Amino acid sequence: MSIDSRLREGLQRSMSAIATDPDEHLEDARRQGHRRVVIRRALTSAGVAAVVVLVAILGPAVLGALRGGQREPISSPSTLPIVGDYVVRLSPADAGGSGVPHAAGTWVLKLQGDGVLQLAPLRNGNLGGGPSQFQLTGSGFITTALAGAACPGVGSYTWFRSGSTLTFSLVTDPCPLRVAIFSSHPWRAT
Amino acid sequence: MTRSITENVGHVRRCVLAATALTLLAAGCTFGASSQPSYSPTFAPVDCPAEVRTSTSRETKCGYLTVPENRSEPSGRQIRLFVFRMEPDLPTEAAPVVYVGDDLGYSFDYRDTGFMADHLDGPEVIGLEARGTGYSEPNLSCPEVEGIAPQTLTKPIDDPGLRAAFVGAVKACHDRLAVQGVDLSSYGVDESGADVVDLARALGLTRWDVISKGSTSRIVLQAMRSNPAGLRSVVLSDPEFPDTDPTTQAFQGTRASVGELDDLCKEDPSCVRMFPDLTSSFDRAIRRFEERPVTVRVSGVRIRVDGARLLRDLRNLFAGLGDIPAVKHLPATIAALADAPDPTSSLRAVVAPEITAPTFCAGYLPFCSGLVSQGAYYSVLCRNIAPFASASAPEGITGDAAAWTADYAKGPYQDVCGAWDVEPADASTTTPVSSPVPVLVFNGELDPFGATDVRKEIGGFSNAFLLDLAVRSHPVAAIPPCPDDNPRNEFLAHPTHMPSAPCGENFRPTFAMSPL
Repeated sequence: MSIDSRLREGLQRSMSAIATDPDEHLEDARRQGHRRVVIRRALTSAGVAAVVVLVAILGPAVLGALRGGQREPISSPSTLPIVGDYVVRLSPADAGGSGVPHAAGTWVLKLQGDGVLQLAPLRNGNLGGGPSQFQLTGSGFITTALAGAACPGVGSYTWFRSGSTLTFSLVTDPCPLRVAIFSSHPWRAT
Repeated sequence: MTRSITENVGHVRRCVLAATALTLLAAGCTFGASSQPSYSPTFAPVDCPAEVRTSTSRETKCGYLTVPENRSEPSGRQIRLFVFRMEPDLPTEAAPVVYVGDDLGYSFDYRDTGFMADHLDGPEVIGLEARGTGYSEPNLSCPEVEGIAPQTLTKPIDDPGLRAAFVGAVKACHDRLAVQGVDLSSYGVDESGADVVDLARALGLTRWDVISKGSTSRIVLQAMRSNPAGLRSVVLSDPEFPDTDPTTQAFQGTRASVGELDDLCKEDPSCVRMFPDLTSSFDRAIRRFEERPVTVRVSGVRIRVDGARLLRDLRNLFAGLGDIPAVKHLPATIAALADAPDPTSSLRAVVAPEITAPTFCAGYLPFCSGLVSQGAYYSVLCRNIAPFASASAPEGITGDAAAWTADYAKGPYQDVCGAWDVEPADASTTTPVSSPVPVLVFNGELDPFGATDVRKEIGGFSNAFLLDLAVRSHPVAAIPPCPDDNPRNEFLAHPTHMPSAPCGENFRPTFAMSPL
């Protein structure tokens, strides 16, 4: 076969591959387009479903964590922030103002994490009384320290602690002795 | 190529179906969570307070159990419950014992707790301070209520001013705590019972026993309703039951205690000769001061004593019979109060505990030597007890006795729930508990706070053992000469057997003829 013949034969094979029925290809194209739409819709549906599943499973946990972050337990990690042992020295003038002159001297205050308060003078133990209660409300402090005959009612103070110094400021208290003991001077942590 | 695309589409369809199924499943789980809260109780160690650390010779560790305040909102506010772990001195196979404390509302008395731990045969003792009490946070104590204590010493129980002050103090405490965000409806025994189960869960206890003393039995019994995994046995000392009405119990329990003392006296020839009818003497003493109130001074404090106060303080005396000498003098003391020309010294002895007792504790609550978190008690009272109490029963029992009516049927605790506004619990929390878990009940027959029909109350337990002990009241610590230690240890070692208690069952005091 001459070179020319071989070229003609090759060109004819190529042309037969190119020359197709346009209607047949239009139908193919339509089918392929439809399949792509189906796949795209299916993938979209699957994606949405996956997101719904993730939200349904993880949502409550995430919301819980967010809410939990906003609602911490009332007190500090180990104890109430005011807990500790403190002392204060009441001068004769402070004690005289309370109407109980023999209350002068050093007072010891123990504030426990269970809301129990113990207050007693270092020397005249008769003035102290038994354990009593305190409660904190933010910067507020209420107590029944010295409750009984020595002190009626509830004492209400604000409190502020800076380092080893604890300061009470009077809000209301019907008991002059308690007022003198708590608010005459800052307390020192021991 | 065409075939592969068809296969892909089929695969995608299957994925869509699977995803849809998963979505529905997840949605189902989420809806289900509203009835079965999902949360994880956690335990974190902290340093022990000194009073806990030094209360026992055992190595002791402490921590906080964090749980939802309200389990129907598991992701809401969380609270922390104080836990201590008194470790065994020696390696042991014994199951740990969970101890839930003495009486509702009370902080642990760590001296007594340490004493109890030291007298158990080996197991680790894990203490849980009930929500609202002790070192648990928040602590629902009410200094407002304590502030009126001095007034209660000088006024009759039905004094309108005193009662108004009490209700005002209860309301002030309620409102303070509510403003702080405390959900006071979440401090009933229903949540406290779930706390016990959560403690076992958080600590990974695979088998455990429980001990309660006094009215904290309500917490244990509530926990038992859910058949918690690993619960091996339960010891209840002088329990209250879910349907116990404190007002009715005050009449029946006090009457039964006086009757029991009368019976004990009749077994002692000297006693019965001197005091042949103690029940009548008791009633006569109450009437005497009902008709002619007096004022006595105790440690410089003036106390007005009328029939109602004497009734409360005698009930308090019965409840606090922690030592045999006090029991020995009780018949003579009652007789002196009824008939002695000058009963002042006996009167002082009987009313003296009121000086240091919390407000309206003596005669109302079984244990008045410690500090009570009133709010924790009020929430149980107003959520789990008062809504289900019969309003008519107390009046019928009191008859025309003014002291009983003033103290209990129309007493101050009838006013509390008007000021302590909480949601009543579901009535199912008051039904009797059924369980196959072995239960040992110590029943002190002198306890005026005890159940009058313990056998009926424990009828739902298929493995219950009842120790009726004649010379025993409502002790926090064990009473010599027959402490609870031996039968309790025996039961914890073999919880399917009735323990022997020859000392407690057979012991009888020799009564003294002189009053307190």
